[in-house]
Amino acid sequence: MAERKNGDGEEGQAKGGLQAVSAPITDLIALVREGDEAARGKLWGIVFPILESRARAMLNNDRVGGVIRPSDLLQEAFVQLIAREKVGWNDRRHLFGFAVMVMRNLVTDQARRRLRKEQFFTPVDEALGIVINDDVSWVEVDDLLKRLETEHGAEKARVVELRAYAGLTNEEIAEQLEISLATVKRHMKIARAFLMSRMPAPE
Amino acid sequence: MNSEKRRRLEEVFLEAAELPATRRQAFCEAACEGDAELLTELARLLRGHDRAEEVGFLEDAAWRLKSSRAQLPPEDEMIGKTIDRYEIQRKIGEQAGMGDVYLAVEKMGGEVIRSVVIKFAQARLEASERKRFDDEVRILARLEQHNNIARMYACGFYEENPYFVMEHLDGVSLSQFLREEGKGGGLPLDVIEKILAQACAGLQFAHDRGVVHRDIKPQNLMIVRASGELQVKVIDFGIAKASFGATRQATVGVVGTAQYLAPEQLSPERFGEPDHRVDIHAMGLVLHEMLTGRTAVRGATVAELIQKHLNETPPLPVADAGINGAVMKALRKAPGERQARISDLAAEYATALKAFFEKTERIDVPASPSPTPVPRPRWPWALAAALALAVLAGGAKFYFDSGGVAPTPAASPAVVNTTVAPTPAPAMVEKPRLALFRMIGENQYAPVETNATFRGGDRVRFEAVAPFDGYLYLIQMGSSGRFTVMLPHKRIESGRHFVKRGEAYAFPPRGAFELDRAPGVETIYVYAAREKSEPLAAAIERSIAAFRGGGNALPTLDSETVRELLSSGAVLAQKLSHEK
Repeated sequence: MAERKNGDGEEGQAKGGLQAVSAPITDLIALVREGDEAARGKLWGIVFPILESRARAMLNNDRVGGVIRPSDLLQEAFVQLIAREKVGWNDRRHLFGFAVMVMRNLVTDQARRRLRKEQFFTPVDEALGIVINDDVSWVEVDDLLKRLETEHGAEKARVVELRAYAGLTNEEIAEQLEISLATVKRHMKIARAFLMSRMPAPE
Repeated sequence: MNSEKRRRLEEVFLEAAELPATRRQAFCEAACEGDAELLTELARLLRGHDRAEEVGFLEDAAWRLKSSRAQLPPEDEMIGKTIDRYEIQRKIGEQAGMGDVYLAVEKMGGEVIRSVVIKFAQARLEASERKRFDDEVRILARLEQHNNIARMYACGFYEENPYFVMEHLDGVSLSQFLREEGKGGGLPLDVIEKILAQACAGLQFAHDRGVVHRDIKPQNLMIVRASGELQVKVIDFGIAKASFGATRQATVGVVGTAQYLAPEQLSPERFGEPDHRVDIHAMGLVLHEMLTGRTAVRGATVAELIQKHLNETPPLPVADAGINGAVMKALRKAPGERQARISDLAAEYATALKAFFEKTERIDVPASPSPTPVPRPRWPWALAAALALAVLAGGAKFYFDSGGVAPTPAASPAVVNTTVAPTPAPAMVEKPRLALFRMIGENQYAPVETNATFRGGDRVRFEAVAPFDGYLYLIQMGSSGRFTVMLPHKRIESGRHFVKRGEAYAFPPRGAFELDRAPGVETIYVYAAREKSEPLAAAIERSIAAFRGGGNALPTLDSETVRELLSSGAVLAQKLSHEK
């Protein structure tokens, strides 16, 4: 967030006006993929407010009714993003992937706070109104996903991410990752077993 | 492990996972061809696989949005349906965050056994909610045998929706009870005592079994009238979590209703881990509300409520230090400064109330044990946030203590200046005195400050003291400008209206006046004269006779007579405007 602020400020000053100008989202995505931390901050600054506003809108919308699925929120936010920003076809998947990463961050952060019993209300709770399923330690899942990635390949980690943090179905995951449904199922099976075998038993 | 071996591991794992457990070992050993590392990792993965299957790991997302509505079958689909042996009759409510509530009858062999309440939980329960549901079942089973806790008969699933079959309580929630009985104000102190004692007894029973309710609020306290007696049932232990057998993460979100939260539920780092004392705090807030008729902590937004819970202390609920002491102790921010046990709260309140009654009963003159104040004429007025003393000095002019000239009766101000200034009527040094009391229970009255807030429906009585031996009357003037003579105390009546200097006389002689709900401004004139007023005495006699004959008419006087009267004696006017 801080990076975004600085970035915007500098750009705004350079133009001599009050209006903050952000780099095209496609450029940011490219920079994020190259590991540019400032670009990551900026992209976060674009994606998070949209997630937040969509979450609010959905929660306030009586017609939605029932439980709002994570995938509903992410997809709504995503539609807003591509409607607002010029996003190339190829970058859309990356953008969605980034939004999922934002959620992974939020969930892990939230779980970590709860683990430390820091707070009952967290900024995440307040901003998005999200509830974390507390049957699994998501802090451990976050750590183990990194190991899964190195030991069994990045694709399996992506599959888990899309399920855990975006709530996508197997079919949606296949579409998002452009792999076959059978592959998604295989990845999921291995990834689950790997993560579960390395998590401490409950109680 | 190289990538070749990884691939092999994954292949063998995927195949082995499909096999029945009994055949896996042999399959793996054959496939690993003596590779111990591979075999160990395989076994580990398979164990992980079984556990993942068992708990449904990654079948759903890690999070969801808090939903505002439950996705349950629509009402018309449910009515008439028989689930298990319960036939659904009608929908009786919706419970925020939980689901729909229906009234049903339990049938056995075609016979109706009893009526029950079925509570359907939200559809598509995710892991965390299933757990909450299971918790509720387990907890209720543990609490079943207490009189002040609602019973649960059964539970199960209707399609995707879990449901509870609960005792049907023929009563109202405390919030409804407060609206109906409190009439916008608080409840009688002795009624509060009964409710508090029972609610605390139920909760103490739960606390003794390691169960904390965590969501005590007026909506979760049911008031049942059982053979004339008031009975309280604590309902909805659904979000309570047993203090023992806590989950691995011991995570408890803010599940309570924001208005009744304890500070430690919001900020455990400042106030410590929430325990049974969150219920004591919540009960303190409920008690405060029962006393005042208003939610103790109010705010337009959740953020404001949280800020208040953390940093602000609610105002004192009543004018009695003893009662306030018991309430405010429960509302201490630091759990350690509250009552140690919830039953202590009820006990402390009872003790304070006893002391309070001992104080007030000395003031309360009538010793009539009649259960309802009789007669209890309804007076066409209600009282105010502001109250002023005025002196009437002849003619039609009303001089207020503020020194200003009051408008004529027809145009009485809605808000009255309370500033006290020298009286402009130097001739009248001796003034009658008037004290106001609010009815707080059967034959129980509490003195009210002159700046007390009154509301429609409040029951009040007056005590007037004459400044000299003579005659004393109370005359009420309503917003319409009509004058009504209040029934004097029976001692005045039997003494033919003669009163002794310095003695207090109650108006009405028994019970209280009930304030009208419509907003308006009223003036009470206390009239004392050394000489008897014949028209006034006659009016009163007529009215007393009417009363004895079963009538309900209060003596009225025309304004000319009143003005004449009021210019001839010592008068004190008490101005009362009122809120809705």
